This record gives sequence, structure tokens and C-alpha cells, in this order.
Amino acid sequence: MGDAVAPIAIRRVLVANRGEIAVRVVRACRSLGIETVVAVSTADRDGLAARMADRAVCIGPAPATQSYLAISSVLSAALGTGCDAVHPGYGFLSENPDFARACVAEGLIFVGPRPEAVAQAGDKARARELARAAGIPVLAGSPVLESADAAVAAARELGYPVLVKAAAGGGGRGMSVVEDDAGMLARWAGAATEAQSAFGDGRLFVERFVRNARHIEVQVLGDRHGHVIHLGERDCTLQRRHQKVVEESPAPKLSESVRGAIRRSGVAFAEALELDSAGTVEFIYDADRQTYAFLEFNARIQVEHPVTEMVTGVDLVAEQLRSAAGEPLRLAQDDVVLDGHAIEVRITTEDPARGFVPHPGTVTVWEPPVAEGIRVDSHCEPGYVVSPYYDSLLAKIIAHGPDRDTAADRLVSALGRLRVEGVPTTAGFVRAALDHPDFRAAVVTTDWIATRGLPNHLEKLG
Amino acid sequence: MTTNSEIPAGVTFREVQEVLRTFTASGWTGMRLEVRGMTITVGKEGPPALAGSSSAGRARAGNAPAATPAAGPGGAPATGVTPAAGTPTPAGPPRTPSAPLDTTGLVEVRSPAVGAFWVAPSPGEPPFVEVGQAVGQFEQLAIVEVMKLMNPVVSSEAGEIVQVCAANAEMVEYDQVLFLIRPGDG
Repeated sequence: MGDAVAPIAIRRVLVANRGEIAVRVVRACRSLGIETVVAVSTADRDGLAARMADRAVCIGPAPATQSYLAISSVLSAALGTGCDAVHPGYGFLSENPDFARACVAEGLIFVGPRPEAVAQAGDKARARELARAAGIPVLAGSPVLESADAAVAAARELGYPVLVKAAAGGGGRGMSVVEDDAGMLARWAGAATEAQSAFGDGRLFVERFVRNARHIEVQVLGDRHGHVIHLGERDCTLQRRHQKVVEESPAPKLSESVRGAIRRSGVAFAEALELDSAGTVEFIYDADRQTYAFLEFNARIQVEHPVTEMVTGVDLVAEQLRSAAGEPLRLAQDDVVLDGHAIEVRITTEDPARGFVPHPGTVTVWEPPVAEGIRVDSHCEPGYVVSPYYDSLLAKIIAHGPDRDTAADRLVSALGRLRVEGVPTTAGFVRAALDHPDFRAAVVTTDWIATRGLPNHLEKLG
Repeated sequence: MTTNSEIPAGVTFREVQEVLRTFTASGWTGMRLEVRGMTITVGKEGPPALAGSSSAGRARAGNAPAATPAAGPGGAPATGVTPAAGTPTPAGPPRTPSAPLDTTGLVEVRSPAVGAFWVAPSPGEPPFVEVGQAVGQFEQLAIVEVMKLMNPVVSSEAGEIVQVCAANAEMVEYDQVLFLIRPGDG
């Protein structure tokens, strides 16, 4: 690995995020010899990322709109501290094309895809057209629709139930299932209003809704020299309200022909987008028909990227930084070998017994598990205050093993040794899910938590 | 500022290098810089004059390293620093108190944003306020510039300016203390 010594063309990175991903980015930068400045709100001034970084700069008060989402404040901090690059993490400004453009306009390297690619991927309707043009299966769906009547006509043609989706939506937000004409007429105006207020864009379209769906996504990586590779797929089927709960790689119970086709589709989309960074191509897999269709593209590092890292041995954040610095990919497709199986669970400070109400408070005891094959990505420590202003992700615990059952067993055992006091967490719930025969047999679908997993768990809790 | 024996963990080696590079490129003949207890004293024509004789020597930092506005890509911001930091305040008023300040009863005015701190409406003009001056409530004391947007820093109370806690042109953080005011009639 003599080639790892050469310094890359990024000197100092502003980390425009918080929580575990800020810690993760600081670590990757450090491994590459890059200095870090973490932009923090007043709530995160004394946090782990701020203390690990070379410097922290307070950019605003706790509400994200006045700090982590305030483009001019983030840029001001980057320029004022002499940074030459900005890593946006996930969420917040990571997929905001205006922010990516503003970084570039100020002479900063945006650690992510070109701004045009961010914009193209962020517009769901455009992304789907791109997929269709690249010969990738897409869910039967409409173009952007102008009225409720047009939506009814489109839904009848597709066959109910359908999903009403915001053209600018993402992360499960801005979509609703509609079962019939009456439902469509009742829902349309409200959906447009919600999309307008959530994304500043009220355009909607409809697509066919798959009953027994699994979520499978392909990790892709590109450079600024036209190369694109994939790093296998992840299965993120266990979700709650469209938020992923358990993620794994490789995807279980997939025929090798479908697996190969999904991976090729992922690369085809990345090539069509001329992807020059890390990204994820998301697909919906119809477990009954054994077919898949393009869902959307995420132009950023994903929360669940560690499972891919565990099976490929590739540091995705470091590769993102290398690509942003203009370096060619160090891996050819044939160099990517998946070793064993990895599973990740997200530990949030929500109380499953109380409808997953987020629970701000102070973590009094924090003892993450340490064991063979276990990785913990977290910003938590004793005394950490869970703020009501941000999402409630406390930690990601990832297990790696030679096979799926070993990885699951290791994760269950690790969760048993995790000690958190002061706030409720989802650890017990995800542990039960990992131990459930449905999960072990890989017969779960995206609505499994809502229809079976959670009711089962609550029943056992009494 | 007050004595501070801590190692300046917030200052990196590269930042020191940038300070020196900026100084070399500037029109200054000497500079003395204090950042969190670390002092850099440099001169272009032999050993620099010491003991705060240079006006640029006052570019000391309270909480944030002072060199940062000059550290932007392309070096363009450095031109903004030079005239502003180099202008007036010739060894006059006691703006470099060596004795620790008794802050009892003083009111802090904090930065409304992260950006460049300007004590005057524009370079070359006299500052909005100076130490010892009486100010009224809501009177403008300074500007914090965020990406060309000028945010006024206003006095929360009427009183007397006791200390200006950041140097002109330096990058200040949101919520950083910029002024200390002794409340009074103004």
C-alpha cells in the first residue's frame, strides 16, 4: 500500500454535519492526513466530532435551519477557516444542488457528485427518466401530473393501489399510498400542499405500488476520469415508516441472475449520470415476481455504508475524498471482492413501547459492545445530551461474519452487551427483529415491522 | 487577552504556516500575534520591535485564531485584512490591558453569525465605537459579514464599552463574545 502515502489534493475539509457521520468523516480525513474543521451548532459545540477535529466553528443556534441548513453560514465558516473542501455527510445540505453549486462558485471542493448530477438525481421524475433511457427497469408510473383528474386517469391505467409521490421528495417523505379513485380525489390537493411546504416544490406523480416489496440498493463509486464501479448491493428491507432500521450486504435470497442484473443496472445508472463520487442506486424488488425497478438515486454517502465497507474492505468516505480530489479510482471492478456478510442496525433514542416517540434526554451510561466482527459508529458518550432539534440516531452497530447467520448471531450478542441508560433506545426491538424466524429466513418485506415485527414485539413486552 | 497557559489545541501547524505566508505577502514590516496563549512575533527588517508597538500586533484573538480571514483560497481575503488592520489606532488608548479584566457586572454582546468581524462601516472609516465610549441600547457596534451580507452587531444595553474582544477582520463564530459593556445610562 505504498500508494496510500502520497498526500491528496485536499488539505483541509469543513465537515458540514453532526452526529456519528461527522465523527466518521473526521476519522477518514485523519487517515488521509487531511485537517478537519467541524461546523457545529451551539448544541454540538462540545460534542465528540468537535473535540476530535482540528477545529470546531460555531455556525448558529440549535435549530438546523439556522445552522446546519444555513448555506451562507456554512460557506462563511469554510472560507473563514481556510478550508479547501466541504464534506456534507448525509441529510442537511448533502443533496442540495444550490449548496453544491455555491461551494464550487466559492472555489471549494464539494465532496460529492458534480452539482449538475446532484440536481439531476434530486429530481425524482428526471432521475427516473434517466434510468428508463439507460435501459433500467422502472416502476410503471406517470410523468408529473397537473391535476387530481389526471392523477385518477393515470392511477386507473397503472392499477390501484398506487403511490402518490413528490417529484422533489426523498427519504420516504412526501409519499402516500392511495387505494382507489375516491382516495386519490381526497388526497391529491393535500399531498401537493405538503410537498410544496416540505420541499418547496408541489409537483406530484403516481407510480404502481408493490405489495411484497424488498428494498435493495447498489453502492456505486465513480471518479472524475469517467470510471464507475459497484461495491455490491445492500438489502434495507426492514423499515419503519420508510426509515431503514436494519441493513445488510450482500442481499439474501436473491437469484444470482437477479443479483447480477441489479448490480449492472446500478452501474448503468451511475454511468448515465456520469457519477464522479460515491452514490447509491435504490431499487424496489418485487419478491413475488422476482423483478426489480429503479426507485431513486442518492448522491451522497448513506447511513448504511458501513455494511459495504465491512464486506469489501473499502473505506467509502476516504474514496469519496480521493475522487473529489481528482484522483482516479484505485480499484477496478474485478478488485472488488465481497467477503462474508455484514448486518447493521440503527440504534435510535425512540421508545418502541410508546409509538417510537423520540426521547430527548441525557445519556448517563454508554457502554458500546466490543467483540470480534463488531463495529460501532457513534458520537455518543456518557453525558451526551440527545437534542430535540435533530434526528434521534445514537449509534450504528455493525456485525461482520463469514455468513449471514454468524453475522446475525454476533449482532444479537453485541446488542445484549450494549448498555445505555438515561434514554430509551430501539436496541431491544432491533434485537428481537434480528432473532425473528422471518428475518432469519429472509422473508421480510418493507411493511414487516408495521404489520408483524412491531406487534409481535409489543405483545412480548406485555 | 488574559493569560492562558493552555497549549493552543485549536491552532494547527498549517495555520501557523499560513499566518506566516500571509505576513510575508503583506505590506507590514512587523507583526505580533497572540492566539490562545501562543505568541508569534515576526519582522521583515531584522528583529521586530516588541511590546505591542505595532498596531498589527493587536490582531490578537480571544477565542478564535486570528489569522483565519486571510486564509481563504486564492488569498483574496488577505487584501481585506491589510488596510483595515493596518489603519490608525496608533499606540494610543489602552487596548492591550495586561491585567486580567474584572468582568463582574459586565454585559456580553455576542456575535449574531459566523463571519468576518468589522469594527467600522467600511475600511478606512472610523470605528463604530471605541473602548471607553458610551453607547445607547440598540446602537450599532460592529458588523459581522457573512458571504457579503452585513449583519449589524447591536448593543443589548446602554452603557460603556469596556472591551472589544475580537480583532478587526478576524473570523468570529456565532455566539462568540465580541464586546463587554458596563451597563449604565449610556
